[in-house]
Amino acid sequence: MLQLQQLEVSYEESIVIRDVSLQVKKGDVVCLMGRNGVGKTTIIKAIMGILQNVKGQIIYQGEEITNKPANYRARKGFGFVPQGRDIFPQLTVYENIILGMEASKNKKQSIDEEIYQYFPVLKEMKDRRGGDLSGGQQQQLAIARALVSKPSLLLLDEPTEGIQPNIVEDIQHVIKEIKQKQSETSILLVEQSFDFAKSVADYFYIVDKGRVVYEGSELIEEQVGQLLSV
Amino acid sequence: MEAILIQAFNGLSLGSILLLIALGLAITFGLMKVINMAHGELIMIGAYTTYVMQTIFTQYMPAGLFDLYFILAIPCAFIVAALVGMLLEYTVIRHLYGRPLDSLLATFGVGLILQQTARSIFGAPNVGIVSPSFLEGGMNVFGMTVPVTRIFIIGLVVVCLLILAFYLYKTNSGRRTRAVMQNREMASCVGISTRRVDITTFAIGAGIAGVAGAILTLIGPIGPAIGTYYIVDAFMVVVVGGVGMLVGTVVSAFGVGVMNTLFEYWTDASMGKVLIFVLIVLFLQWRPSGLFSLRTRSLD
Repeated sequence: MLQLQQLEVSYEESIVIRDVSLQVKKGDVVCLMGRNGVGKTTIIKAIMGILQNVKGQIIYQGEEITNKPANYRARKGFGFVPQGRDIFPQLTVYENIILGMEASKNKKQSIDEEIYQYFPVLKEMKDRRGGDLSGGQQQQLAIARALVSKPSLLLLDEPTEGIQPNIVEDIQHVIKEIKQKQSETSILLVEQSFDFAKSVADYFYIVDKGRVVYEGSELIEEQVGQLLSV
Repeated sequence: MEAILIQAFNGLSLGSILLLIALGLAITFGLMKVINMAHGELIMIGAYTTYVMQTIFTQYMPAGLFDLYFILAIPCAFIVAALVGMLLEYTVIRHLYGRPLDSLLATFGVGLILQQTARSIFGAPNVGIVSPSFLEGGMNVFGMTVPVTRIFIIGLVVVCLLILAFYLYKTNSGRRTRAVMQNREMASCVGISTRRVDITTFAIGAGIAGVAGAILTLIGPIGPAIGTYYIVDAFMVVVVGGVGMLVGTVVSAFGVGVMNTLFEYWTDASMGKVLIFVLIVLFLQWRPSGLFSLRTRSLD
């Protein structure tokens, strides 16, 4: 469904991603792993369309979208949860979620109650400003904002980074549930936790120094341990 | 005591005009980080639109309808200035996003072109308008006699402010505008067309400047440089209020307006200006980001 071919991304003059080809099949959870600074977030951002200087091809549902802007991709069904959450700080929680609906085709401006079942805390806090929430709550909000438009491809960039353990569990639970319930939705997940990645992903890519150095549907600790450890 | 009250009222009236001018600047600066030096010329366009409306009414309409011209001139000034603003955004500013210095120079140039155009069309001497009859005379407020025009101006500014606040905080496209203001990249990632938000917001900012121009015709002559007189003060209001905050702009507009009039009353016109600028410089030492600023606990 999503295909990257010979993706090359550079910041100014320096090339940070070279010749990355990967694909995400419909309904699959694909996990992108690797140490810090190897280019995982850059790949995700290139897929979402917020970087300049992207060469190669990005193909989604048979359509080449390499040069399309991010808002076009969002309307095509991309849901994005960036690293650092990037919620709109001065907008209320409710407004943040409803902005997630911008990408959805039906223009009825009401929030699916399902979202609140995943994250009940957001309903309690719906009139608070997004910037006043704690880090974990902001992360939940960012995920809810991406989910509310019923995306066909969900891009999650380290959704559990720097968050208290019980919220990490909640988030992991939600990802698993999306995988089970919404068989139409594909997920591309950047994740550091070995165990969680193993429990949820159908396919793995490991990135090192801007290239894909390992791929497979199994993650065997002996083979990949060296690529992931510091 | 009464003299001071009258000065305070004049300050309120000056503040409301400053507010209207600064609102347009604040939303364009807050949204796109573009310092629009041609803002003063958008004011001028609004003022000349009013003058043109008056000319049309005196020549082609029955005399009994004359008073209507001003009521119609306000929306017309908004529309004409907004269209010019859109054109400006589309042809010049769009290409200069992220380059504050270049956009400052380019809009300054556009401002000069617009001034010269006005001079070619309407001539260099100032023109004036005849106030509609319902704005003549004075009115008794708390025992003071104040001109009706001033009351009208304050009322109109309040109406504009309410409409703008309603647009920004209660409508879908206002919500989109605020989202782009706060995080442009993420806004486009949720599917907002930032191009469309940019051009609409710029048009609204320009339109408000047009309305300000229409109002200015009530208190002074109309000339090609009418905008330049107010634009510096309006920039001060934006800086003191804090970028991107509506409430900050409101507070600082009335603050600067009232202080300005009071200082001028206690000293004289030039000394008053000096004092207000000294105060602003001191204030910015204390709070560099203005009265109100965006503060959050988002992860950096």
